[in-house]
Amino acid sequence: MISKVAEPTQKKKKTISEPPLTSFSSLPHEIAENILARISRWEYPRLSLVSKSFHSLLSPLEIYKTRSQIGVNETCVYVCLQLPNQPCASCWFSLWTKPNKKRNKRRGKTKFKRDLSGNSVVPTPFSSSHSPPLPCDYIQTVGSEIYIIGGPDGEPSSSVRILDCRSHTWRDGPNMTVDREDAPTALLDEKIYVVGVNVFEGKIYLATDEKDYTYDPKDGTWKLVREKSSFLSDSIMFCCEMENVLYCCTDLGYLMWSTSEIEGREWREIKGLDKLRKHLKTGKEIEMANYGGKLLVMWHSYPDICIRDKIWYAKIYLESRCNAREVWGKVECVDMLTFPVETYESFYCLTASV
Amino acid sequence: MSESNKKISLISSEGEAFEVSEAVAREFEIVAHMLEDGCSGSSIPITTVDSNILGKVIEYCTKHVEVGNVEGNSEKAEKDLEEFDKRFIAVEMNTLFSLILAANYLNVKGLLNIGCQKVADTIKDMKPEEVRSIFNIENDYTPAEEEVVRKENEWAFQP
Repeated sequence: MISKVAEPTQKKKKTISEPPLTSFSSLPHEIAENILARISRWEYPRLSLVSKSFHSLLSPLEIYKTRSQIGVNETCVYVCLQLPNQPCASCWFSLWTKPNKKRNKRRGKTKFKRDLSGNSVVPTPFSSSHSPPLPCDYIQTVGSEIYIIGGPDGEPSSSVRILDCRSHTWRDGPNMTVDREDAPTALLDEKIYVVGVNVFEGKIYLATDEKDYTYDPKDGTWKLVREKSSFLSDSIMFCCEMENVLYCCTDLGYLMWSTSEIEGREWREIKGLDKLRKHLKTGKEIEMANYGGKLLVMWHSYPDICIRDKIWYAKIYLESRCNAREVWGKVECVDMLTFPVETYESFYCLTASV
Repeated sequence: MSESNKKISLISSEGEAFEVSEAVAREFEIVAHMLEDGCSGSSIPITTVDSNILGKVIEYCTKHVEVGNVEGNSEKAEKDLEEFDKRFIAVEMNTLFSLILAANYLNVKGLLNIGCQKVADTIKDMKPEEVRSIFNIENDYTPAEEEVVRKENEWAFQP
């Protein structure tokens, strides 16, 4: 039973002059924050110029608190370059989503759409000047923070460095008890464990010559996955996990997926990506990341001795079909990033949600 | 519940009475709390909201209660409601601010959300001077101070 809104007894038409324009500054603080928190972080530098109160409303301490309260977040992509002759330092860049930017003509040919959300990079504006650590192969993102655990190749370290992607500040986490080199990390129940083997979906995978085992910390048991599994095969170049599905790229450019529901944890090919495979096949170094539910694949195809300043990337929309027996990929765009460096040695791709 | 037929009068700042069903009145969380606290009177003064805005907020809540009561066909209903919200919020900035303030005071979360989102969408691509002019904000930076803020994020201002 819905009752209609009763009209006021007599409609007083108000012809009195309009009240003066409400000023943004007269809005309660929390409303002003609620509004600004909904805007992309990339607009904050420009909006900070409006007034001093905008500037303080947009300070990372304030605005990101509000963003998490009202459930606003965006995915930020970071590319970390290792430069030649600088084994311990790294250069961090953020993928700048700035639409309508003038585009340079792209070299090379693809049949894919270009990235319309903008594709330039800006040096990540860290708030302190001391040099950021170089990630080892195992980095873990937890929400808006990136954890770098241990040291890079040949530089064992017990350090844990944490990058807060909201304020772009580094801080030290508690040291590990032993020095680890290339420590694999895994996200388990929002806790980070450092182990000596691969960890997916809260289980630890151990590959031996002939058999693969899995360890579930919940019940504390080791189980045999299968004998002679392809799951941890050498041809897998990179792995990433998104919503309990694992994705990997093989050295032949196949993008694969796997879940614990698949018997024997075999890899299955993501369908619909034949054209992209031609590009990936030439990839010398491939990185993958969760781009807000899409798969972000980055690669370069430079030969070993060559000046490198570009990285290709593809954003792939994924769809589960046939009662989750198949995963289909649709390439949303393929584009290229140019970095303001002479040449890089290797790169890492990381995403965080802020 | 069986009380859905009960009527409640909401009195605007000008003293106008708006008669609404209890279900609609309860969309105002502030009113819902009053009712739960045993405020049994059938007329509730909303002294900080004028008739024009109160009428609009009631229109918003009535629509949302109506749609919430229809069973089935939820996808279409949701789309209709989205359309309604879009039209509802397409008002000039002054009214929009008044609606946001009223939604904040009366604690109508849905309206507060779409109102804030609308303002955010309006200003997100604007130049600082445009934002100042539509919001009546004074530029309180000295040129030197402005330069410091620019320097903080130099990359953002490169052509």
